[in-house]
Amino acid sequence: MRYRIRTGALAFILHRATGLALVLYLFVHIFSVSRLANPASFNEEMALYSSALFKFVELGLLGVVVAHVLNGARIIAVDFWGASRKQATVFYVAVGVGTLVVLYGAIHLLPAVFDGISSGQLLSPSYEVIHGGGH
Amino acid sequence: MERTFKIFRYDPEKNGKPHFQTYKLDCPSGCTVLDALYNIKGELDGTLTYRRSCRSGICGSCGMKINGINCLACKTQVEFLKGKVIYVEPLPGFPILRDLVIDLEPFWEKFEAIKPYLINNSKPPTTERYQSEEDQLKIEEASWCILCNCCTSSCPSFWANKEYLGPAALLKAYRFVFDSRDQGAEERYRMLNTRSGLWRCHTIFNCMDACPQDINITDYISQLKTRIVSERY
Repeated sequence: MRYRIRTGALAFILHRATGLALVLYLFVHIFSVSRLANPASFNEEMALYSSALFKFVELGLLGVVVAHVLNGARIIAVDFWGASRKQATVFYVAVGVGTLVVLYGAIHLLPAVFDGISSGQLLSPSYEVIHGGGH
Repeated sequence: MERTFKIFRYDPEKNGKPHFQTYKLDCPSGCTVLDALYNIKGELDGTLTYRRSCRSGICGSCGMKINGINCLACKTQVEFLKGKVIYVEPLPGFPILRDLVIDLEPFWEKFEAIKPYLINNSKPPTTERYQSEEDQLKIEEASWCILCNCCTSSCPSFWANKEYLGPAALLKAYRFVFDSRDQGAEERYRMLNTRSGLWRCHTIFNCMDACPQDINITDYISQLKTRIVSERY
């Protein structure tokens, strides 16, 4: 029988997984920023990020960031404010707050995702792109 | 009430492979897992091997993994264990000598490394070294440790890195670093402030869930971290 996973271990696994996901995201982010050579390429890339698929990915990113930030706050509470006896309660509070934040994000991001799915245009921008725009 | 036990068996002398053996046993109310092991060894299978001594939760010999969580067999009553089958295994993360008996040598090595004794180079007084009640209270709970190894063997950081000192040794380090009579903090910091020391604790809390003495281990480790950061950096 494997060792039973309780709140603390679950929080640790989530923290490690979201931490690795954020490191991965950082590289993707640097790569995408490095490609912004001129206003046209900026507009092109922003248009891609406004598409349904990327809005959905963005919601996932929000979830990952919120989970990592809130558990980070939980660890600070354990390390500096003596919350170790109450760590499970703090974890559930963090889950509650995190769920609310992600729901708020979903209200703003999901309409674009549903539009994309219903029109079958998952990678098309959700607004008209002005080619060659800028100064 | 009859309960089913699946007990981890391993005998290196018989070249046997590790496996689970099933025993069915009548367990009256109040029967502990250790009582059940006594009955199995006495009446069903004399070859079953485990460590035990005091039977009252103070010697720390009968630490084992019961239904997926480390605890003392003598402090765990069968009637409160859920599930049809009760799994009994040796403490994880240590070499298994036979059945439920593990090699504790790695545990003691970590324990010795943090110098688990009072270091005070001043001339001993004619009476004892006095300590205020307030100072005593800082280390009292940390002194409850019975060295059962339920915490260190439950720690995923220890499973991943066998060089890691582990919660039991760190708790003992706290007990002396925060003792007003002790002067050996700097010596201990040299062991604690390493890659395999204090900083391997990722606040997973398995140690506190497993501790039969209900010691606030993670909090003491956090206090050590804070102390080292504030004194060293």
